[in-house]
Amino acid sequence: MSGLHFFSNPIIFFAIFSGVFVGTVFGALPGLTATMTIAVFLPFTFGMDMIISFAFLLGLYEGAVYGGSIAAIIVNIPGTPSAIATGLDGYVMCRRGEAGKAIGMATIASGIGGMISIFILALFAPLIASFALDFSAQEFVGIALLGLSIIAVISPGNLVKGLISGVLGLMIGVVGIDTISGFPRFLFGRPELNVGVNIIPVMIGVYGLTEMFIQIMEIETTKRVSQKIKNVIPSLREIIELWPTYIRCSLLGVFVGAIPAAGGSIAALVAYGQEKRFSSKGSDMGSGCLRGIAAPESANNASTGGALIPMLTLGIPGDPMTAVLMGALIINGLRPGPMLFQEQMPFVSSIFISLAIGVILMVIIGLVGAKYFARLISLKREYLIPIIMLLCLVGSFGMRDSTFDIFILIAAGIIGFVLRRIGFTPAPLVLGMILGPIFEKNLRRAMILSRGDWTTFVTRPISLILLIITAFVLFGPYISEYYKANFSKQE
Amino acid sequence: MKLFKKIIKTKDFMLIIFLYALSIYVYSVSQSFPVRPYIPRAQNPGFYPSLLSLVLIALSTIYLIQVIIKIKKEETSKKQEDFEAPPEKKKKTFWGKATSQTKKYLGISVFMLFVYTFLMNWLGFASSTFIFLLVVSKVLSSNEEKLYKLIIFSLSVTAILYVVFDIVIRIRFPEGLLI
Repeated sequence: MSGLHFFSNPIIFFAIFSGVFVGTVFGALPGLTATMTIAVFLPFTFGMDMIISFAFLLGLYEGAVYGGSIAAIIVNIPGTPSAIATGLDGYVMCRRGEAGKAIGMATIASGIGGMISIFILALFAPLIASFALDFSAQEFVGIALLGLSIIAVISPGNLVKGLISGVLGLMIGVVGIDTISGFPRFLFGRPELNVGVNIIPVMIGVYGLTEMFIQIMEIETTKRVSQKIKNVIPSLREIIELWPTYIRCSLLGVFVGAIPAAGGSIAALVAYGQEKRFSSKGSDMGSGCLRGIAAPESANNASTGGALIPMLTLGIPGDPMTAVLMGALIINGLRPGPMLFQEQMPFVSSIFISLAIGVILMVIIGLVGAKYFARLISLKREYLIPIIMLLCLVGSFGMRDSTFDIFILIAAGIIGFVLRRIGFTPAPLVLGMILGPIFEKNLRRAMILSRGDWTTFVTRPISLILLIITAFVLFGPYISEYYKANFSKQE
Repeated sequence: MKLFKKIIKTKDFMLIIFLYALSIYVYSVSQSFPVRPYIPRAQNPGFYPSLLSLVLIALSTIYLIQVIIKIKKEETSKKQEDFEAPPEKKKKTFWGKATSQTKKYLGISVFMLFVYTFLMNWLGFASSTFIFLLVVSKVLSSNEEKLYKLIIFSLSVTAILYVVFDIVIRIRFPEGLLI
């Protein structure tokens, strides 16, 4: 609780409230992902005090993950990928005229899931960080490889495309002055590239601008509808009888969220599937029941805390959203990892407290504002798209007052668009750019210390374990397929 | 030769060529970086980019093999089918749900991004923002919205953004001929 004194400043409450509100609005708008929301607003926090800027960003994170459920319930179009499972029962309830109750349950379940995950984050993160203090260069190489492998495996499209995207991200990270030898690499005569390609315009480009290009492409083929909402709160009995669901799915959400690169969408789908299979009333799910909303919503908001565990303790983002948050930490001169807990514990405590306040505000904003958020869904895209494109432009420019960054943004948007159309996802590329400097520094350090001996990565036990897990992640699916094919042949 | 022609027709082909070209470029440039004698190889600036380019060549080759295997499987399954689906229902194209009209919208929007960058330096933030909002919203509404509504929208949003970014956040926009 060493960060409690920061909360004597009322501005921080306003920052969290604004973040949750804006995040919920953006999350509710179909097509605008939570990652895009955080990436677009990130540059505007740079003039702020670090604690306040992070409080705002965490509010955005929580609000956007929750906000996706509103569109999923009302129009069966998830506002964010983590709300896909919510629509399965939520939309059925909406067609029955119970949209308000569905949104109310989504709000309450999100609040409970969020609170449980913050408790687990505050309990376990310092423990994991103290364990990670023994890590050396070899272990950090293993962690970076594991993070990249997992996100490559989990991204849509095939594994090789994910790995190629990740390596491209690592290559972009090479641009700039080499920190070890001081030699300029791939500057192409641009002094703006001395410090490397700015990751923020790239993130805004591949998540924000690319999404806008896709929305423009589909502007004539997808229509908007909206619905009036009334009676937002389910009965007390309905809320209380689902407590086992909240607990089970929240714990599952934290665990899945903590797996690097997994994220809220996977947490929500896994929780929905498990609840349907193992709950005594699981057979009702899919026909419009509150359990079908409580399960994924507890899980996806619980995954926000879970995803922060590897990001804060090891410097490996738990999902694309925490990858963007990690970019925010690095830009502010903080390096996520075990040293953050040693040197900046008040800041880390402020993160836990901000998240808790954010969850409470999210529940209040959700219950009070649901009727109004529902109307946003009918907002015309010819108004919304140019505003968001402008936010992307201004955000990219405003970071370093640099027109060059705008060109980086546009290039990233076009490249992201092309990659998406040919079946690549941007997540491994962005993660490659974020992890690139960490990976390169530790790889070269390990090789220098071992005088070029590659066996250094397998002679240290933790490094070896991480490499084995990475190999399992990469090759496990193929081995499993081969085994099944041979086994079923023998049958 | 027949297989090569089929590979050229896939949307992966250009990407594979690009990946090979990029890998070879990065490798050759990295090899030209200075190498200091009597120090570990990893300490030289070319070590890491050379390593990455070799990994990328390997991955691109695996990707190429996957494309070839996919083409061969498609050939085999075509021979086994009695009925062929009409070509337009077979594969997702690059442009997906886009119509020729929306492709124009996209082209104009991307062009306006560059125009905005130029205008911001020439006219100033507020003027260029107003022009950007007006033009892009007009294009995307495909002439269904009345012009005065779009002007009101563009003016109000420009005013809000100007207050927020220029006055509150104090981003140092370039000074132009106008505001």
